[in-house]
Amino acid sequence: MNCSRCRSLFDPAHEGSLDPGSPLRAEFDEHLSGCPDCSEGWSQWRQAMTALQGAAAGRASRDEIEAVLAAVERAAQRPAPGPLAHEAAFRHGLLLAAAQQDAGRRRRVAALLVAAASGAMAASVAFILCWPRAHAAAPAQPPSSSPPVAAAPAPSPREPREPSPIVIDTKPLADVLRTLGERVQQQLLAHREERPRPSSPSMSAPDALPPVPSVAAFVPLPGEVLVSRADGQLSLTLAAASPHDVTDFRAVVPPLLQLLSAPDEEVVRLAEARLQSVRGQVEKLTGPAPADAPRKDSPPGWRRLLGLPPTEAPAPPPGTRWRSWWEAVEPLLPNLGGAT
Amino acid sequence: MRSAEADARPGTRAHPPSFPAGEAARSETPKVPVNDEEAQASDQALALQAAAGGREAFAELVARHTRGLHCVLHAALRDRHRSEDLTQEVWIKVFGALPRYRPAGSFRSWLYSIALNHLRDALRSGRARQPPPTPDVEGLVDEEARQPAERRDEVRSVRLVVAGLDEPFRTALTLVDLAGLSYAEAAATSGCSLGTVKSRVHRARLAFRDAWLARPAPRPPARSSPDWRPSP
Repeated sequence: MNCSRCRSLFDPAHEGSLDPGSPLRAEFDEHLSGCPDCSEGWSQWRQAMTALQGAAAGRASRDEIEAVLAAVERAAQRPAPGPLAHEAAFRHGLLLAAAQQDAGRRRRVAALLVAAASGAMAASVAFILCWPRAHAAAPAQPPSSSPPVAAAPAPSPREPREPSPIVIDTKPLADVLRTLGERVQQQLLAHREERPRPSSPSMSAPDALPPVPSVAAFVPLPGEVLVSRADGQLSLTLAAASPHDVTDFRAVVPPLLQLLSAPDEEVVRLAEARLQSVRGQVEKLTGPAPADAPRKDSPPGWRRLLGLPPTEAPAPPPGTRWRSWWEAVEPLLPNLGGAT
Repeated sequence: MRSAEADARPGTRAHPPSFPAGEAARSETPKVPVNDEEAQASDQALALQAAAGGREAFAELVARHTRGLHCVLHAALRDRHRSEDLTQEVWIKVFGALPRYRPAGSFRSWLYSIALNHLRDALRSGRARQPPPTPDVEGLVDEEARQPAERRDEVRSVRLVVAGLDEPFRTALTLVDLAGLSYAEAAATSGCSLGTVKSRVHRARLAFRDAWLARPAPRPPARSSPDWRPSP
């Protein structure tokens, strides 16, 4: 055995994977006894590995265990996030992101956000270019009395034209959204008492969540609001692509209150109206629908989840022109049907 | 390697186990495992008990693996406080994912997969800073506070040297030599083959040996009372 081979056996010999009775181990020991360099190296190896193994992690102390258990129990007492809700959105009611559940949806929304952000950036550039003249010509405006829900800092004509960060003060909205959540929760609970649903055997535990979450999801596009109604939970998500979208949020809240306080049929009607709006936006991207395309006004998810009877939809004739169009359009509609 | 943490995502999770303070769960004192196989089986049994709401079982898992998790996370972050926070966050994730734990594989592989995925997420999202050049190892020896000063110095030196190793050898070394995982468990945790892990651990040990032998001489132990007098 040469020195290189001997040194390569330091690790298995120290680990114990080199069988003490094997001929290889005998050769190893024989070489060590006759080679001072390898003997020194073996001594150093054992010294280093002994120190390394001596630093191995042991059992945690009682204080460490209690600290971890306390943190876990604190986290377990927080309300669980809804099916479509981000935890931060649940807590604060406002999230500047396109909240989607899977990567495919995120990519589609990201593409729409990029398109909207490009438009917003072009508008901002035009605004900055026109600002000095408009500001010089316009008379002084009285300060607005509306609360500072969200505002983008006004660009100064003398400052370099860098994109200003979106500054959002969510505090004025927090109370509104909290009140909104409480109202929806009360209505949902009252609605469930009026019309109990059959529970699944697997979820029949008294402390289990309701068997079928009733969720009405609206398609979030830039500047739109995603409303996620689960049993006893509410989450609101604002997908904002530009400061214009953020400032418009104040205008979104009142109809949202009306929407959520409406009966289920009204919710469906407004949801379908929202779908029409989304469809119009999608048509801008994909072109208009063919004339023979049937209206897909009643996605089954909303009606099924809300316990409403399905509407009659005409059976599509096979091979028609609209079908290929719809197959191209439908993937662009995230959360279509509202079922999650 | 995202499977373990994907299971732990809040949006998809089942109900985390609650600790109803059931006396039955509290009364089942876990046995101390004797060898590695017994430890694995014991970990799996504890995980199942914890998933059913056994607080003592979960506490025993925490007792067994918290310092190992901390070693691995600290070696990557080199920040004692942040690694402590991340260790607690990992346990919170594990607690939420326990109902979906299946005792088909090693519990430690599952646990450390969640830890490494959480570490990557934290580094990617900026919640955990990039490691500073000088590791903060002072706090790590608090846990060995009852040990002699020479022993604490040696532990501090070992962790300083380990934190200075390069990735992915550092993680392989910490998983196997500090956290006590087997090669197979480390391979499952890291998502690479058994041979790769063995090679990484061997190279990491060589690097550790070289750095350990080249480290500066340890400081002499501090005296309790100064043997000098200030000049008048």
